[in-house]
Amino acid sequence: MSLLKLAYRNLWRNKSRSSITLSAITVGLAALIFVWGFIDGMNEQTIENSTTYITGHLKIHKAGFHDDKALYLSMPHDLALQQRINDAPHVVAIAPRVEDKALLSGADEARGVKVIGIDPVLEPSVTTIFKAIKQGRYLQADDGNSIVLGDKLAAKADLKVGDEAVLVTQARDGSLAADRFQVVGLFDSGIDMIDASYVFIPLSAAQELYSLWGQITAWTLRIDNRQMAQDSARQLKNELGAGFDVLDWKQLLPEMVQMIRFHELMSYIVIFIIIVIVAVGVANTILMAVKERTREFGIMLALGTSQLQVIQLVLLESFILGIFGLLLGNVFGLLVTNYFANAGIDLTEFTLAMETMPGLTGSVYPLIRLDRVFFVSIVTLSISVLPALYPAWQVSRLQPVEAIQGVAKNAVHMAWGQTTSARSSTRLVFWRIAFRNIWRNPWRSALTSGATAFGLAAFLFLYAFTDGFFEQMIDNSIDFSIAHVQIEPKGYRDDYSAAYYLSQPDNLLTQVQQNPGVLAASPRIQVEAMISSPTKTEPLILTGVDSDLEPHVTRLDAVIIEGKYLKGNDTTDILLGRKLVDELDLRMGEKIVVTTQLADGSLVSGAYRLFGIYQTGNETFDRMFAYIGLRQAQSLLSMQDRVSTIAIRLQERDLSKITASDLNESMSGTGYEAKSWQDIMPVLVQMIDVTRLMFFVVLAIVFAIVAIGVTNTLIMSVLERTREFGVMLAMGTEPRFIVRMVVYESIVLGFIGIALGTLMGVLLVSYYSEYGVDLSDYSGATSAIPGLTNVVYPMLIFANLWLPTLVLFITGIVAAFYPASRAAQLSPVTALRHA
Amino acid sequence: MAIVRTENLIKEYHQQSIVVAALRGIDLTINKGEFMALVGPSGSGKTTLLNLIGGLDTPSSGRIWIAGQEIGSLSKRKLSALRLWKVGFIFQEYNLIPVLSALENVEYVMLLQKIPDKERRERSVSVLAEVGLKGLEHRRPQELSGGQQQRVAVARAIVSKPSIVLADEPTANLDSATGGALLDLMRDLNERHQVTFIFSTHDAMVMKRAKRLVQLKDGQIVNDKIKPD
Repeated sequence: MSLLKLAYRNLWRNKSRSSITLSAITVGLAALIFVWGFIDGMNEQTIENSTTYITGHLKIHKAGFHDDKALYLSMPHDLALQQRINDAPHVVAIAPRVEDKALLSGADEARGVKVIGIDPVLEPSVTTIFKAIKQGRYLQADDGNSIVLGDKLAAKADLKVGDEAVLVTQARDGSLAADRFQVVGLFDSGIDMIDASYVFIPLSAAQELYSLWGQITAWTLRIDNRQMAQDSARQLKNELGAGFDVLDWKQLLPEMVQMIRFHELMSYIVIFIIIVIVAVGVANTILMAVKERTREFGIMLALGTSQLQVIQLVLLESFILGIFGLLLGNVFGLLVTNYFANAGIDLTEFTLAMETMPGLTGSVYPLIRLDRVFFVSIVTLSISVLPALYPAWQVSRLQPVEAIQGVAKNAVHMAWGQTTSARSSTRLVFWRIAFRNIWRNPWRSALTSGATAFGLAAFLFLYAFTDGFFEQMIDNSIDFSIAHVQIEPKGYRDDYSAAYYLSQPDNLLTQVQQNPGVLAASPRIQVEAMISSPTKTEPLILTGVDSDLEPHVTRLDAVIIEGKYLKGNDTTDILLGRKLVDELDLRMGEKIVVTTQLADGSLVSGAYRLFGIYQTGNETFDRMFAYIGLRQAQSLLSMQDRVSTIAIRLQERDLSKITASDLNESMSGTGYEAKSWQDIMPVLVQMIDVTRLMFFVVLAIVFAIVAIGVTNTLIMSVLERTREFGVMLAMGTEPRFIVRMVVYESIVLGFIGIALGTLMGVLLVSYYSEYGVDLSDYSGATSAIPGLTNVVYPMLIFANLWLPTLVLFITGIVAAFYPASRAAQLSPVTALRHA
Repeated sequence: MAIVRTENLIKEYHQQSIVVAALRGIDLTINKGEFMALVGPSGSGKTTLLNLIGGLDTPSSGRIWIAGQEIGSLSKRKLSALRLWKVGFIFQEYNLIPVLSALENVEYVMLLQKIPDKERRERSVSVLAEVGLKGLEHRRPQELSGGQQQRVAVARAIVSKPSIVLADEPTANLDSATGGALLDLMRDLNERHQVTFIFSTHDAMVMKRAKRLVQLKDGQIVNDKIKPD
């Protein structure tokens, strides 16, 4: 009989053992395929949406424009050149654009927006935002001053189709420009970042607005293969020469590329964890399956089978199992992934959190990539064959007689016998047997508890990492911007406008300070505004602060890197973030102009002198805010002694919610409300929820694999000891005691695994909480997240950890019941006859 | 006084569609203090009969009394208790619990019987001394020779003073000197403590020492001979 046939029959002979090994391989592989598909789907969707809605695959600018988006770096709209580019290889379509920023004013409010002037005829062949029109229509060839904007932006600016909106900006020559536009359509791309910040106007209207007659700032292109964008960009660049820059989508959307890399890194870690746990589970099962058959191999050796043939047989058996596991794993993995690839995984509950991931819509559609499937299949096959090498080699070296007699070569631990305590009860003896059984096969126990330990340690670390991540976001947001609690007029949070205010703030301040939890409080004014340097305009949030009180509430004064913090409330000094200063190319002491809207909708500007530069390390903070004295802001906005909000610092962060509700009680009927940081940053709270959700999915997969591993180990160890159980039963041991003994074993294994895992996890976290995890390579991904800097310090929060640990422990115990009840149901006669 | 009685005991096994009769109507009475052996060729039904008497298996029909109690109708749990209190086993393969020391193996049954620590310990030590293993109490089975292991098994079987001790080919794995010594030990225990021993065996040494020989063939008793002392 050929070895192959023998191997095949051996697998059929012990169906439970084979099916257990098979299930370990199948579940592991299917999980790997799904998890990777989910992540790929998320990334693919981000790229596809970001490139097709707005950006296009390639962009051509005048040389230098990409680095310094100043309008004097525009280029002539050369139709002959446009046609030439259109005819170049791989180019499918081309459209000219004028792109810049502006302040959009609706009925009573101004908001910073990104303006894209498009050719209504050519643009739809490059980008697809026209498909997302949900009210009104897209721009047409003969449109004059028409505007199309996102539904989110329209809602915030209180604009409907047919309304008139005003765009205010700085023209090419530096003068203030404004024009009226009629809203003709609203789009809903499902991506909040797009729907809340982009407006489209006809190219001609944009050229008029920005004084760019006959000029454009970019051509945007669609090519036939997005993956080849880099090559196509290089070819075009060669063709066009040094006067132009050609950028592919990866250069145009560096933050997205970094975010995807960040996701990929996380997914590699998760996939690595799953691979290790699957590997250990499979290795363990195979190790035991071979060990259990020592006697059988002894007979084969005695009959003249060569050592090599025994090794081949064992390897063949694992190989056959691996192949079946591969098939089943692929079938299940692909079926599940494919189902969700069509149905989508609905994450709309977490839309706010999705905002921080540009390009993502409410549903994620997993993506099946055959190269990934192939890779995980090969990995799974290897981990199902390689672990068999060791026991195969060991078995082949046995003396046939020893093997047949099943003589244990390994010495036994004398010390254990001698240290037996004199006191013991029935229960204790089963504990003792369980403990010693674990010692009996140290390799098996080490692998089983090792897998549990590894899964737990990895989980603890990742959890601590995200906790550190979130703690940093929360603390920085509180310290540098929003404080613990803010009192503000109802409606203000949806519309940072001078139309909402607190009157008589001094009375409120006195009242607030009487609350025992309050450490300090400071009045503020906050409105949306535009800031202009001689060459550029950027949207931001203008904040008027009391220079004496504010440092007791937020700590921006501690991160001034150049110049000084504000002194006095009525100077014309302004404080800006590092990032904004760089973008506007400003120097200390230089003058800048801030434009904003009064409560009645009219525009107003003020000139300020750059007095200090702060750097929090987070790009959003370092770009989005400008600070002036409170009195100065009040006079700019004609607000007399009114303010927008009162920011409050508490003794402890945990008091935020309760203090907010206390304050709300005392202010009921005033039209003012107190909001805790959780109310102010729902995005952050949701992001924590969404991350937790993802973690629980990963955790569930890891636990399922650990459970299967524990079950396998115990089934094998029960199988191995069938005769021993037979003896115990024969001597009158009740079946329930047998169940107990097996469960005790699992408790001991689980306990060791959890203790080790916790120790490893805690050590890892302590190390990194000291030195931090440097995410500089992914700074694009972190800058999109308010409050996060480049170095994350993992943080163990025990309240978040006991539950998963407990669940893991219970999983192990529950997993033991099946093998335990199998052992208990043995008929003593059959068990005694077991070889 | 009859310690074991069987009445028309029949045991059939179903192998696929074929019915194999292992025992075909055994009527047997064994009195307290006997030292008897079931003999006969392989497949004659010796082990099956032993298993039925020990409550490890249930008969297809017929009845069995152990110490006056009919056991054919007992639940699994009651059978378990019967084995715990009334029956001691000695196997060909020794079958000690490998992770327990000699002393702990002997104590095991008394633990299940919830006998107090002190008494349990004393009885185990003394019975181990009685089987000639003084000083080896804390060895694990792997650290004992075959003969020593079987002595532990004997100690384990008799320590809780069962009504009967069933020994299935107890000497088959031992050399003749060791086997002989073990049999002398059991015979001695039988005579001094009136422990009832029932053997199943091929071994001439066992047959020579047994006081009664019951010969089985094809599931039936073909000869029942009490040897004069």
